[in-house]
Amino acid sequence: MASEHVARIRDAHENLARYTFEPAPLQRGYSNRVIRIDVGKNSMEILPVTQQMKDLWIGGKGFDLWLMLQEIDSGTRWDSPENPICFSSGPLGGTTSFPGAGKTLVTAISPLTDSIMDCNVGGYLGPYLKFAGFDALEIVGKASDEVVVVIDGSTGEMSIDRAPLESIDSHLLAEELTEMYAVNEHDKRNVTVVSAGRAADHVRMGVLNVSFYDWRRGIPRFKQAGRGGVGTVFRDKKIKALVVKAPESPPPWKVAENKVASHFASDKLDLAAERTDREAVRAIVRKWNCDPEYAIEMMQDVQDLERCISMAAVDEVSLRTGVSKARLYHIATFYKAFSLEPRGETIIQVCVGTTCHVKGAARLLETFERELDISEGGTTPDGRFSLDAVACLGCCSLAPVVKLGDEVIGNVQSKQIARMMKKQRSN
Amino acid sequence: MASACKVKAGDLGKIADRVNASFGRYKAMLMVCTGTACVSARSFSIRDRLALKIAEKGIADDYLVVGTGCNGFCAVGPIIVVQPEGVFYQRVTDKDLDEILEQHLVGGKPVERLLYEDPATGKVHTRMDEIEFFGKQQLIALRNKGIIDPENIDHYIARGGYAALGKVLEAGDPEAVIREVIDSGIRGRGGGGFPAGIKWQSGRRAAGERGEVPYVVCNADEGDPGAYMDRSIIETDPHTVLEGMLIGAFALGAREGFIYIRKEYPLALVRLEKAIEQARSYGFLGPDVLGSGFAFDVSIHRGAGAFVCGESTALMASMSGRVGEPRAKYVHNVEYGYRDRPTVLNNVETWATIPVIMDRGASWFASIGTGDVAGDPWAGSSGTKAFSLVGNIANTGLVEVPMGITLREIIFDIGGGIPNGRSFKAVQTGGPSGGCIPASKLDLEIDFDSLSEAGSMMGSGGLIVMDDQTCMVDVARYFIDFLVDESCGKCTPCREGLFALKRILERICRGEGEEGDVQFLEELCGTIGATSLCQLGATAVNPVMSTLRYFREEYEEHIRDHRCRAGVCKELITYRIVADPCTGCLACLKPCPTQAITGEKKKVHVIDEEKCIKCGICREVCTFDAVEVV
Repeated sequence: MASEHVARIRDAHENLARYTFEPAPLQRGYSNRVIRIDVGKNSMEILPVTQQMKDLWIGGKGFDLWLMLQEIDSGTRWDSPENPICFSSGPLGGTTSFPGAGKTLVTAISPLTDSIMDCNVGGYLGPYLKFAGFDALEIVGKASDEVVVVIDGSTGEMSIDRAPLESIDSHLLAEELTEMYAVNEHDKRNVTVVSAGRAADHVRMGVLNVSFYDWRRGIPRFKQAGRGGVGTVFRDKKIKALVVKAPESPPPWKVAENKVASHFASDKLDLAAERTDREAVRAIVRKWNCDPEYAIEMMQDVQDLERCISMAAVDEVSLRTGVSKARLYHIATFYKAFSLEPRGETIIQVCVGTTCHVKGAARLLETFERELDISEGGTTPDGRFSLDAVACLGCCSLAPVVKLGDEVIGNVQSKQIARMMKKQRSN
Repeated sequence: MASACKVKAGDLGKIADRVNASFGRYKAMLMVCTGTACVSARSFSIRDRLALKIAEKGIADDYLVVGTGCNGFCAVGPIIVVQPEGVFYQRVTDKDLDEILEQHLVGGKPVERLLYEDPATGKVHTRMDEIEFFGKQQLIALRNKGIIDPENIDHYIARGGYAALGKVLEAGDPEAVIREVIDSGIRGRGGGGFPAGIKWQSGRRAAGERGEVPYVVCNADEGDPGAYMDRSIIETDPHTVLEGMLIGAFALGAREGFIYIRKEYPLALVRLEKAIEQARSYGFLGPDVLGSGFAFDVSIHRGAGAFVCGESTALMASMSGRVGEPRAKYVHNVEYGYRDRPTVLNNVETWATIPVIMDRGASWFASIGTGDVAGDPWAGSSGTKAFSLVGNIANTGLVEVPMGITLREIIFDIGGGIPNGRSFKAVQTGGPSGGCIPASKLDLEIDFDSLSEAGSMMGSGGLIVMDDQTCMVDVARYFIDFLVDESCGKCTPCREGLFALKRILERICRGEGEEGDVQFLEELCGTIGATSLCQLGATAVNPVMSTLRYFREEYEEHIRDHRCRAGVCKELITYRIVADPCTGCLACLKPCPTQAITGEKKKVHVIDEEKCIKCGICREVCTFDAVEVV
């Protein structure tokens, strides 16, 4: 898209309302804030999320319905100014850990049924709203002219702009606005545009298009909130588009110790990306002839090389074998050999096979946990030791058995462990 | 095409003669066990030092040091056996080597202090075959254990290796091979006990009907905790597995074979890789096996640590580079297996047994074991079975015994009974999918069917002996815990049902059991067993069912009296120092991680129950048996 064109339509914007906000840290999946935007009165306000909402109205749909109930009464029709369009993604929104956690729930009174309907949509809206610091968004009122509503998490600004020159059609509009609000090509990934398109002006079943930027094709693509005609309501409010921009690095997600979720926390991500030797990973993939059947073998070699499966390594393996990243993560989290977080230099394996169990392996494991001050599966903060309980090392005749790195030690007693670790530490 | 073949079927005898003649030139061969257990006791260093010392002494022409696979008697490793007379040295260390060299090799007198002394009778045995542990064994799959160097293909050939393959290829009749395997009655050694010959026949038929080339696969993903037969076979005699697979491949018309091996077995993997390389260079694997025109090769897949991958459909998913989730088996692997082609999967031990069957004939094999399998392989259990005999038992190790032997013979005659004056409580067979068999069933003649009837199963062959200090509720909890971890999560009964079982068992172990728990456990087990997708879930309830069947009173004690008679369940026990034996030596004060023990020199020490975390270290360090569990 020509930048002069974008500059021209941006210059035609006239600001109607502006509001600045602070970022909100996420706590257990909530930012504890909701935005209410009235495009009729050009006002914006931040509402708190109450404990009652979390207890009784949990989830994207719950929050949306709660917000709707605050706005409507029995006389509210689909084209009443007070009919709110509500967007929310629930406490798991934006995590990568569960299927559907990227979805956004949208509710409004439907032009088709004249009652409350909900629909859900992919795209980046819900997650980016969350990253910007809001659990839900509701839009009420009717604008007098065509407007664009912008929530920018990177600058902490919200605005309503009169926007006369933008295209109405979604495929053009999303390109224009993505270009307008991204500072560079890389930043386009942080922009999502919600729009309805020309047809929604004429029919009652208009859909909402939620964009996500496809960096491989270099264009924004869309997911649809298609049920019930919410696009028609959107256009009825004379909104051309809603733009939400995520902060440059999203807040680290603290969904209770979920392995995959924590892997995507931005601080770890940057570290891992720097450390990964992509050339070495490529050599591993070549060694197995880029054969997808040997993906597990490749990942084992990567694990040996990096002591973890980094995002960059998954990226390389996926690119060169054609195996999807989702499948590689499935493998990485299914098999015990893999870890998404770096393991220690020395891995201490306490065998808890049946024979060792009968001979008191549980006590050994506890002693190691105390001695190293980590729990089973953990790694010491200095990165030297990881502690694992393994099912059977096949040395049952030596039970109970502990493996320190490559060394198998048989007939271990709890009392030896302190000395054993002292020796290891001094090495 | 240029033939890479170097050895023809007729050359095998010549190689064997040549190698045997070269062995004959030595006055003695020193067999150093280099199985995993002995290696962890530094037997590689013993092997190398011994060879070095012999070379230094200038007697290398008379004495040969051979690093062998697992000897089996792991309890007393590292082991050196001096052949041909069979003198058995146990618990050898680097320091003992000079003595063996001087006194035995040069002086001709065995080193008495390194010989095995029977703990029961106090008798010292010089020769290996005098030792009771070896007495009742009959070796088929493990026939070369402790005799050959697993990393040298010539040793295997010298023992008649690859001769069965030569015979089969010469006869050139695949149907006859399958008939022979069916007639032998051999049933799958991996645990299921499905007749191998019938499996082969179905595979061959499916391949013929669809005109597809089938695959053979060797399952070396020995995941059962407490079982290490397969590892030992590969570490001891990798070529027998390859030969078995070659014979199977010929019978089925397969051209490619795969071995799926656990990553926890690094030594076995190295030996297997070496064996494949050597077999290729000899032309046993490759485009023209033994000059017969039959083409076959083997490649290895490494597992990545998932118990469920021992299940055949999960294993094949894993070989295809996917997660190891099983599928429903209404479509059999012999029809649509790996890459959707007919696939015959057998366990390591089964493959290792095949060459012997082909060599000595089906009727010989069928005559060993139980039942009459001549007409119907399901009618009994023929042949021998390897077991790993471990747990609270004097002679831990690997044994191979004929089917139909009683548990008593294995545990008390071969295994030497329960050590430390304890009494026998139960023996756990079949891994996490098996069950616990009580003392009243010690005279059970073990085979596939009798163990199933007793509520357990053959499994891959772990025999874990438990003494009276083992809590059966805790054992059930332990297995369920393991299986909850290893359930792939695909089907609900296994994923959720086992989790529910775990929670109830944990509650019982904490002393918070409720009336009705036992009945509920039984009900839940029934549902899980009946509705799970694969055998992992279907058999997962066996540990609970069998302990409920034989040790119900222990469950009731835990629930009703909040008592753990074995002194295992932490919440139900307290540690106490008994005044009489305590000498006030202060030894237990320092190791206690929570400083729960107070006392002065020469005064009786006291454990503060509030602080005590029941780690048991005080009991370990006390040399006067003054710490008791109540």
